[in-house]
Amino acid sequence: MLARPNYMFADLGLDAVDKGLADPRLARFLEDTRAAGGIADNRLRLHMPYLSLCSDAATPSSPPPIFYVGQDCSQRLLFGDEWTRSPDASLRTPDAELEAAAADGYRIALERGAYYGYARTRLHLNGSPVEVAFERLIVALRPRVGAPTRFCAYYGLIQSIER
Amino acid sequence: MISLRMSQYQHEHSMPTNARLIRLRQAVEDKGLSDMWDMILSIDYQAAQAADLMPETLEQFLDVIELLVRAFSYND
Repeated sequence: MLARPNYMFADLGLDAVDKGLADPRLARFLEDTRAAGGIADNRLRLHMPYLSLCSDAATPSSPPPIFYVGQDCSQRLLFGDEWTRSPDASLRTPDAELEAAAADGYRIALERGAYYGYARTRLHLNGSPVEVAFERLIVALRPRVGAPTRFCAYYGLIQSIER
Repeated sequence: MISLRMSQYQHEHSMPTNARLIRLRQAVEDKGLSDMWDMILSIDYQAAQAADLMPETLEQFLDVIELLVRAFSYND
């Protein structure tokens, strides 16, 4: 269950990654997607356990629905396995306010090709309020060269969880 | 195009998975998501065809495809 959270989302831009300010795992992911020309090729395999994938349907109030959550993805670590087994509606993380606050990053990624930012948010984990700080890199990809379909790959990296 | 490797005899217990596979493959084709199907199969499962997957892995793959179809059904 989640409490009423306070959110802070900052768009740091890809320059911050290029200047070496991002976690090396995120930098490697961006480097690989750039080398692949925005195509999801075999270079993506290394990163799949840490990614969530979603469609290209970002709106001002909600990120695109998710269709894949990697085993070690930060969203799975934060929200647990249960929410990934939504029986009917499209999969979204379980906090509507957080969803709305996070939406801009997806919209920017779809416009510019990628988004890198920093966020802090207050959640309830195992019944206790915590403040979570995380980096997030979102990249818009195509499944093959010339494919009309795009999707977003989200790589979130938790920096700290403070009680 | 649905590509399934089936032996001549199919145990009845295998049918629900195959029915799900056929239903989802059709939904993927209807929505123009075949590239996504191939990409997920290739990158995450390192398989060329869904029929190459072991039954339990196939179910996991189909779970992802089920969500994929829902995620791209926003215009429906």
